[in-house]
Amino acid sequence: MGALPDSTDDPGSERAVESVEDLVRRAQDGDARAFEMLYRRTVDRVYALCLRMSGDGNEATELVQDVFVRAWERLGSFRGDSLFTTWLHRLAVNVILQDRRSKGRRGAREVAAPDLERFGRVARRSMPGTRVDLERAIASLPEKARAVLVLRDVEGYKYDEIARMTGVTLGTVKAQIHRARGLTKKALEA
Amino acid sequence: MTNHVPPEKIHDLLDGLATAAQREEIEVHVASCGACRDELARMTDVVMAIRDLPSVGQAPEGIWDSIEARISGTQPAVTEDAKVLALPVKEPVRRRFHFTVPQLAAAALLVSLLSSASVWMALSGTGTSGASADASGGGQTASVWVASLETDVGYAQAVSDLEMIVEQGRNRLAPETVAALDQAMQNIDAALAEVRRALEADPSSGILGRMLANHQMSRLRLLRQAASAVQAVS
Amino acid sequence: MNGMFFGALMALGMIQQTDTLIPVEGATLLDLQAMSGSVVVEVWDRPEVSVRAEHSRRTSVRIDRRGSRIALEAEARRGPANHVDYQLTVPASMNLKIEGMLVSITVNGALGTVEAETLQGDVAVYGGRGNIKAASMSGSVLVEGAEGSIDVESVAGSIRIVNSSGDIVGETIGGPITLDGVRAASVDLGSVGGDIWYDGTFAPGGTYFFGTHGGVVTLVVPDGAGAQFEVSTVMGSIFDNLGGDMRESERGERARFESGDGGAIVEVETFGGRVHILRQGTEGDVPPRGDGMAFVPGMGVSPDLTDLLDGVAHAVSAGLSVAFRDHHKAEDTGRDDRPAGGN
Repeated sequence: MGALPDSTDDPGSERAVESVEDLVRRAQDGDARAFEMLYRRTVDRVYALCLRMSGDGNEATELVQDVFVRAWERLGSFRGDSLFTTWLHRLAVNVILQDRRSKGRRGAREVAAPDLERFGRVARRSMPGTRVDLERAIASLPEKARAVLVLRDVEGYKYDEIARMTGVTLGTVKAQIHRARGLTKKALEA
Repeated sequence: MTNHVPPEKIHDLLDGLATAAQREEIEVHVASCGACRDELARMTDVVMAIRDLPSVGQAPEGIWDSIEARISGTQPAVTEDAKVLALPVKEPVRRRFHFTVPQLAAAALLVSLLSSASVWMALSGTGTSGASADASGGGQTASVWVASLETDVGYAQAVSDLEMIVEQGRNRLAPETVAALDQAMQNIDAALAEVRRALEADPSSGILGRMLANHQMSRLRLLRQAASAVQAVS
Repeated sequence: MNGMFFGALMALGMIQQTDTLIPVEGATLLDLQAMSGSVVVEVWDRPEVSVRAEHSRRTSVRIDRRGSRIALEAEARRGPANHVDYQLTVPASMNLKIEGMLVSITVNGALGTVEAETLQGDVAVYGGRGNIKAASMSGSVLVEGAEGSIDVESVAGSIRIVNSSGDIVGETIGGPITLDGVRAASVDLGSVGGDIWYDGTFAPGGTYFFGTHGGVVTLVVPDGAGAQFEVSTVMGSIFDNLGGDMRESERGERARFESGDGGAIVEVETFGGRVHILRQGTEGDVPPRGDGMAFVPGMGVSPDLTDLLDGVAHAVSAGLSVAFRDHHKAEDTGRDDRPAGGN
């Protein structure tokens, strides 16, 4: 099949705002317009997750693509047992972690400030420079440490959930998170 | 020193995994150990700041075009559904201290954090010299903690800066807003005075120390809100 | 704005109306900054944002689209924009961020994230999923029918959260806090002078904290709720009827009560305020006030309390607080010989 169904309509020109559930049903039937609307409703949070866990704006953009392509591919398996956003968030975490594993170990690196300024809009009213400093400190963490720290302290997953997602023991996860916090503190004190 | 609080216990405390007995054991230890008190205060600040980060960003434009190109001509497939964990909704950041002595130490830093002027100065040391000096002195009573909080350089500076901003700009606020601020400040100051007097009689009371820290936090938050309001109408 | 007055101003040509439709086109956030007036948000199932606003002739509403955000802000040809009354209708799933100065804010039926903050004026949020933040400096705050992470704040006004669920944080300086019909996994409520009333569930594993300096804390405990209550007060009284009859604990002591299997952890702290822990259905059985401990919101400390403090300070220094601490230590740890620490 060469063309996406209903590709002539702009998503914004739909006559009615559909619920996420309706959009999911349409997307499951192959309607890419509906999927685009789901994308637009959820991309900001997925992007934030990808940016923090990768620590790199370009990589985050690629990861967002991978997440939504994977979501499209697997959409047929979404049965509505959970919220779509829940399913998508978990899928995003899996895609990011899988990407980490496939690319192997990387060292800490500095991250360009413009990437982090994407969080600045949310933070503009309070301590404008501070959050960027903190984001930079997190971005400079070693990869594994950064990933588990984001999952625990930014995204709010519990230790045992992170252990299941990352496939390591609970003790290892705790140790990694403790180390990540310590390194973040050190980076801020430097 | 052979029996400092192990780092994992500090993290358990911050994660809410410490039992009441463990919590109290830490409190007792840090009451007489400035190093552990300082470490706990700094780690508390860092973790609270991370937890307060927003979980949304602003995705760049144009990503969809690439996605559309990649999924063009394909259909969603039915595959084995992965087990889905509950998506956590971020808990709102708690504002009040729930445990005693360590958080009194943390308070000096936290109130500094509430000041836009001295945010990471606090973590780099310049904002906490007063607290650190007192902490390393090994004080054992709540009054020492109180003194360390109230004589802390970062805290005093934050209060002074904010009070000046509010004082200079209060005439730009609506009279009702000014009245509400003044009344609230009077309430807090009256409560602070009560707690201070009770602390003079019972310097080692944990509950009084915690109340004092909470009222100080409320006062700083109020000043910061007032300063933001003033700046917004400037 | 008063209808007749508005009509008169319209007739004089002093009031203008903005009435426009903005296509959503993928936008997920409505961001409104308002100086003075009112904001009412309703929802519909159309992919458009309807902006209706009444304002003076020299004021206009600027609409700015950037990415997934639609921003609204009043601007004036000369000087600051003044009073604007907004009536907005948005898709239910749209996230809302509304900030005002002298503005009352009402949000009805939103299913997205809601952030509504004002300096002066009331805030009411009906509905909301995910993160809900509502704050007013001098007005009251009401959240009803919300689910998720609820964060409410008022400096001088009251806070009410009704028929909502999730994690709840609330703080006032002078106003009362009332939670009614709440299903919360965690609660953290603090006030300096205001009363706190909580009528809701205590979930297994949940944590609940209620702190007020001079206000009264009343907790209504449903039948079968499993909770462990730990109540500390410096000078207040503690009453409970969990065991059947109403009883009063000794003042100045940390009291512990248990209901059911004790699965939830509930902490209450006051300086001079009374604490009531009551079985559901007995909310009216509150003992009459006779302790003279009331911290009157907005009135500062009552003179008799100031006098009383001197006497109590004596009692505290004479050993009451020592008894409290020892009691607390013994209960929490089961032993009195804990390590003194590392230094």
